[in-house]
Amino acid sequence: MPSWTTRLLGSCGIAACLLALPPAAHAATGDSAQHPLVVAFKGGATTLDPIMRSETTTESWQRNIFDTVTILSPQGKPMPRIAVAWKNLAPLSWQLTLRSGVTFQNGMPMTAADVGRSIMDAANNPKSQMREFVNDVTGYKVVNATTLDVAFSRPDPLFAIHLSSIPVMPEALIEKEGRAAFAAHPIGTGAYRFVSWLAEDHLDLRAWKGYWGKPVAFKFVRLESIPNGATRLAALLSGQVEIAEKIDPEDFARVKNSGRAHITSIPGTRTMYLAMDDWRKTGSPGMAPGAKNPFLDPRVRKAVYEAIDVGLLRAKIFNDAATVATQFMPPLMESYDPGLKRFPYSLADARKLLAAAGYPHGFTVRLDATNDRYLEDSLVAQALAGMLQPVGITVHVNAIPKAVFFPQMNRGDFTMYLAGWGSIDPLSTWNSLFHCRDAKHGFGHVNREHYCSQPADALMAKAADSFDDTARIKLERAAYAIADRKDIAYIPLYFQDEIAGVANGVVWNERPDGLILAWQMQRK
Amino acid sequence: MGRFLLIRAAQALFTLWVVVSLVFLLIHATGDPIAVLAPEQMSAHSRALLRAALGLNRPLVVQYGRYLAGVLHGNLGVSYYSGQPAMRLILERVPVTLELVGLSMGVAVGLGVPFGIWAAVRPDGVADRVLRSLSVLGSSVPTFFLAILLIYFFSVAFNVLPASGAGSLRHYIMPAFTLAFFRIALFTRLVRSTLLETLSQNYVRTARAKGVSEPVVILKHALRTALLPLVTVFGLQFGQLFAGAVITETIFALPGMNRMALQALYRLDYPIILAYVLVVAAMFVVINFLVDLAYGLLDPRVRHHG
Repeated sequence: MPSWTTRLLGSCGIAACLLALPPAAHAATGDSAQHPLVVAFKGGATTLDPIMRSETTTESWQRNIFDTVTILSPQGKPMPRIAVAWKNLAPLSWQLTLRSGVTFQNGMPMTAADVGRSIMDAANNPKSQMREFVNDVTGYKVVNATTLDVAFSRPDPLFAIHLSSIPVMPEALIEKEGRAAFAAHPIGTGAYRFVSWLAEDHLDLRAWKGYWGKPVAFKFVRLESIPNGATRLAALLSGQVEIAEKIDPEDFARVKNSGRAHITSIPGTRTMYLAMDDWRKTGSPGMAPGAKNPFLDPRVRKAVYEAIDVGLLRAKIFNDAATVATQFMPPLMESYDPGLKRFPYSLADARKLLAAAGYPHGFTVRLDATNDRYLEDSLVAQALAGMLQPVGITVHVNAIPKAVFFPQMNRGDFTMYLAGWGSIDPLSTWNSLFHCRDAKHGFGHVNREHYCSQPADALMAKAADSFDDTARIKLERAAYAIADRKDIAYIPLYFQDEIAGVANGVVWNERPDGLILAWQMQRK
Repeated sequence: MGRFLLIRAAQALFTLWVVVSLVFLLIHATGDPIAVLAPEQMSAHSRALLRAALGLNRPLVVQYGRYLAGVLHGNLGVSYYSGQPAMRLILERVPVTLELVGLSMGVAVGLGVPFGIWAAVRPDGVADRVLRSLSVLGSSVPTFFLAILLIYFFSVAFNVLPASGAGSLRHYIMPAFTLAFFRIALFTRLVRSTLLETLSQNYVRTARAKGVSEPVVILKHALRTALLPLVTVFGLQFGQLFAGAVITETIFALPGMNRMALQALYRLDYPIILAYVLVVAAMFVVINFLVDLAYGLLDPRVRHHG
């Protein structure tokens, strides 16, 4: 670490020169270490160990260095990456065909065993945050240099999708030097080599000559964190960065009118929803003492659903940069049914339903929400309270920091709350959030509402064993129809959009999974 | 002097122990790091494994004991998020914060003291009036507003300064000025009032009567006394900025330790929070010590009795 005094003195010494210098003549962006292509994120990666953090920004930074086994297309289909083909041999066995001629950035050739051990690492490391993707994997067998058999304890028809979250790591190297050293100087098979970084601040990358894929358009790339929205926007408009993610919707016009940049956006995979206590008969937290829990009656849940004007939320709070949810599952998921529409917004119908359920004058309830987790979360909670007032439901909003909110939510301390869910796939979402609670088999572990539909669970159990895509999707849609349409297990509200401002010289379209990958960018 | 230093060191260690223990208990009472660290899809079983891997499944007393034992061995634990040693993560970011604070305090003193003298020389003169109105502005404009305003003009409209980052001195101009703004006003007013008071004292009148020239009277005789309160306020302000530059660091995306500590606080990354608290507490101890020393240099009475 350079001593700060020398840095201070040194910089004071050259201060005058720096200030007097006109901006240097620009080399083309991305062609030199002095003029890299710069991407500004809101946050920054906390670690470069690619299995230790399942969070979009951290994964974005890592996946310029590491390849995943597969990758999702913008339509949510698994596409070849390190694996070029996959075949289901038996319910408990998948066979992967691997790309040949792939080399790690330290010159070591990638082997089938590296891929197998990477999967096992993700599944077994106690700190791994990728466990849920490969939980059912029990082992692997190297058939030959480019063929890998993977064994399961339970069938996983969506294995190829799950592999899009599994990075390929040089396992022999990690064993030799340890995970900490590996994370300090990560080595993968991806398009960019690690140059230097400061955790959560910036990561400098350089195109790697031995990369197996198409040559990249930008040789030098810098990923950096600019937490403040106004600063991020200023950096984009002044040409200091080429891409700035999470532009505030109210600034879209400024970006478009600047003549230097444009906006790209696409619905993401995060569903924002309203959850309601589906099990306590009385004594739900935040209701009058001894009051009956109104949400046990599906008519009340439907009334709440119909009293919420999501289109208005979208227009007024998100400046149209969110997508109205017609169902719980986002468009990227295979079970998404494009034919579905929301129950229409109707205060009259909501009042009728409440009256029929025995609440002609409504009731009073507390709505819990975060104020630092999701885009405009506390504002949305306030708006929901306002929308429920006309049908007689008095809502007291309790918006709190995530560090306080989540432990309470996990304990089931809420009656009605606003939360988000990032789906991996329809099966795991069902088993976590919708399945009848069954701790022994690990079902419904975040089903804090105790929603339970045995017929729907049965459909999903069948889907989970079905390797026939068409049949499986049909089963999944049927199950979600029961939860979404008949029982109103949750009230889906909207999908957050993935948004970025992009300088006009760069071609980049946001991905539904929210990853920003420099190797997919082009020059105009 | 040796005994003095020893007592100060013992006091400092006691202070650090109290601060770390208090913060340790407080943060453990506020929430559950796993609830924020674990992705929402993570199963109960995986959560339990993660909790055990981080040692968070043990009783609080055991965690506290282990932590103190670690601190005594110079080991403050690793970040739950990055797996890197917490103290190193904080220390890596101390230079940026020190540079920022040092520069802004330099600017504040470099402008505030001359302004104060200027204003005191002719009370109610034109300079005094202008500086007084400016100092009202300086103490009332909020930091974040000034920061955004500067970014708008110098990065977007004129495009002469970078809006964010810490690569060169140019990156520090706006953030340092943002922090200095209030303190220029503060030091101007402070120097003006103490200097006015000193200038009316007998020994100054004596000096003038002896025929000492006015600049020498002000700069040599009066200013030296007038600087004593400034030293105290300088020390306080330095400490306050060192541990409080969080808004400025965040807006200008400077990789300083305050920004990192704020993130750690949001995420309940206990080892980083504790390392930060230790560094800040130690810094305050050092600053107070230096202020005492400076007093001795400026005021002979303190030297003899201290």
